[in-house]
This record gives sequence, structure tokens and C-alpha cells, in this order.
Amino acid sequence: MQNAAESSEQTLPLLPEEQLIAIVDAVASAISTSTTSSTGRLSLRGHLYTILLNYLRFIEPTTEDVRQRSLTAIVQKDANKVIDRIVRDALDGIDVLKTLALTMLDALVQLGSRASSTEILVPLMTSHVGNLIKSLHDAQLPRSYASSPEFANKLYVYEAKMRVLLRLAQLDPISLLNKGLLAELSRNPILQGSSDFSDHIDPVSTDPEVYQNMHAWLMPVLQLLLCLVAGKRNSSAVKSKVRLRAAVKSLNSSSCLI
Amino acid sequence: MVEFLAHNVATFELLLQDRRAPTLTSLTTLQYISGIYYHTASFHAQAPASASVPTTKATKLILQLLAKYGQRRWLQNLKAITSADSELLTVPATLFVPVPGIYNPSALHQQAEAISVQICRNLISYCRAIDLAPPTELAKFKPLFVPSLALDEASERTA
Repeated sequence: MQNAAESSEQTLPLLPEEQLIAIVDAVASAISTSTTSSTGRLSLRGHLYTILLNYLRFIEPTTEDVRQRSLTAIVQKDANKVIDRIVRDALDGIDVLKTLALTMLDALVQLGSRASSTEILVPLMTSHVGNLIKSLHDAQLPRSYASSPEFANKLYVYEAKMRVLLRLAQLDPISLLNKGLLAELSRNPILQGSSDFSDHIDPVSTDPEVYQNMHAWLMPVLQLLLCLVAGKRNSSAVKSKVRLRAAVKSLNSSSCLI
Repeated sequence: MVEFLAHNVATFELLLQDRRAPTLTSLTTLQYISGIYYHTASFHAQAPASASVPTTKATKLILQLLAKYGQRRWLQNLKAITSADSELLTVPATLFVPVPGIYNPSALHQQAEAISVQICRNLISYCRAIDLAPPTELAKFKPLFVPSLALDEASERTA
């Protein structure tokens, strides 16, 4: 029985590579040309993001594969429009679409950094990261930390947004600091002490869900802060090394002259 | 960044006090906070003397944390909070040096201890960074690590 199942799996016809890439190309162009915000269109875009995300997951283990390069080429072709559409959905869509769009952005940042693609990363870092940071303002304010579908939706959007920012902070922490990320993070209600965090810090007397939810709200901020300080420190260490190398080089050249 | 820490000092100190029973969540929080303090230690040291940097209290709390997590007694008070934690409690530990009072060490204990090692690493690095501050700023701090074999004045005189 098992052998029969295995043999039927082995004989499954595979979609030819060109057709697969043509489908992905069509999905990417459908995302970039879909501009309306009717419910049907929103739902359609959600499905398109899911298809692309699944494809990204499908090709992930093989980084140097031809599929990886073709997907990068497809996204790069119309990167501005595709990224613009995804960021709009990440900021203005309904919660489910926001989460999907942010997860898509996270995957694109990974793809862009793996392929060192300026076409993907530059528009994100220059035009959109500021809006993502500003949007933290509303996202950071849950009404209550008790578990509910409303809280879960807000948490998923918040976590997905923080994950994108974390990924971007790993690439260029200074840009994010210059765009005012710290000021927005300061508004986190737990950091400000405005959400009774001190009353819910004891795991024995606090409702476990509230305890966990409060920490879930605080943890991405700490993770992002750590990434920013470590990145800033490393980038200044790299600058010092570059300066040191330049000094040694000039010293060597001057000693050669002597 | 130092200003950010100073602005939110109440929450950071509350977390550094770490008075409650440890959980995987609280340990992960401490891991991040200790990492933030470690990476900003050099900024603290470089900050002008006039800047209102709450380093001294944080350093005291950090030394207390180091004393707490430098030993393994805290593992006896470890609490499982989430269902994932409870699952881990049922899985036996594979690499765990026995601790008095813990008869069935679980994967939860093992994971918590791994995080605590990272916390200690960050705390020690913070203390070293503060200790190695440039001479102009060193006067602000008392040395945190003093060589235990250093000769005191009396033994110097007799030597």
C-alpha cells in the first residue's frame, strides 16, 4: 500500500519550469496592476500573496537555484509597483490582508538581501520604511491584553510589522534610526508604563494569557532595540576598522617613500 | 539610544529587578535587556558626565542578576506558563548537570539554563565594558571586577 503511494508520488507529472515561472510572473504582474480596494479585489490580492509566499517557501532551500534568480528577476522587473501595492495593503488593508502583505514584505526583504538586489531593497528603505515606522503608532495600542480574536488579529499584524522592521534593521540600522524608529518605539504602552505592566509581571498571580500577551507585545520591541544597538555598534566598529586600515595603508606608503 | 534607555528607565529597571519566579518568557526578556545594556555600555562610558545616564542603579541591578544566574538555585523556581512550556516539562532533559532539588530535569530546565548562560555572558560583557571605560570617565564608576589575588597595603608592607 505504502509502496503504491510512493510510486504514484514518484510518477506525478511535474510542471515544466517555464510554465511555473510564467505563472509566477503573471501573479506578480497581477499584484502590481491590481489597484482597487473592493472586497473581492482585496481577497484576490490576499490569495496572490499566499501563492507567492508558498512559491518562496518552495524555492527557499535552494538559494543558488535558477528559480531563485528568475523570481528575483520577476520582482525586480516591476519592483516599485509591486512593493508599493504590498506596502499599501500592509498599511491600509483589513487585518488578515495586512498580516499577509507584511509577511510578503518580509519574504521580499529576505529575497532582496540574499540576491543583493538594490531594485527590491532601495525603494523599501527610501520610500516606504518611514510609513511603516509611522504606522506603529496605531498598531501599538491594544485595548486590552486579554486573549480575544480582536487582540490576536492586532498581535499578528504587530508581530509581522516588527518582523519586517527587524529584518530591515539587520540590513541598515542607521537608516531606521534616522527615520525616527526610536521615537515610535518609545510610545509602546508597556515601555511607557501606561498598561499596568508592573501589576502583571508576576507569573504566579497573573492570568497566564495576559502575562504571555503582555510579554508578546514587549518582546519584539526589545528584539528590535537589541538589533539596532548591536548593528550600530558593529557598523561603527566596521568604520573604525576601515579608518585603521586606511591609516596603516597611508603609513606603509609613507614609510615606502622614506 | 542612551536617551531612549533613560526615557524608559522605569520599565527597564522593573525588568532588571527580576523579583518574580523565572519563566522562559521572563528569561528571554532578560536576555534581550542584558544584550541591550551590554551593547550600550560603551555609549554609557562615552556619554558626557553631564548626561543623565542611569548607569549606577542599572549596574547594581545587573550585578544582582549576575549573582542570581551565576548559580543554578533559581532553576528550582522555574515556572511553566504556556502550553508549550508544559509540553517541554514532560520531555526529559538530554544534557543537564544535576541540580539538588530537581529530580526530573526536563527540556524546559535545559532550555531555561541555556538562556541563562546567554544572560550571564551579556552581564559579564556589560561589566567588563564599564570597567574598561576610558580613563576620563572611569572616575565615575567603582571597579566591578577586582583581582582577588591583589596584595593589600598590609601585605605589601610585609612583602
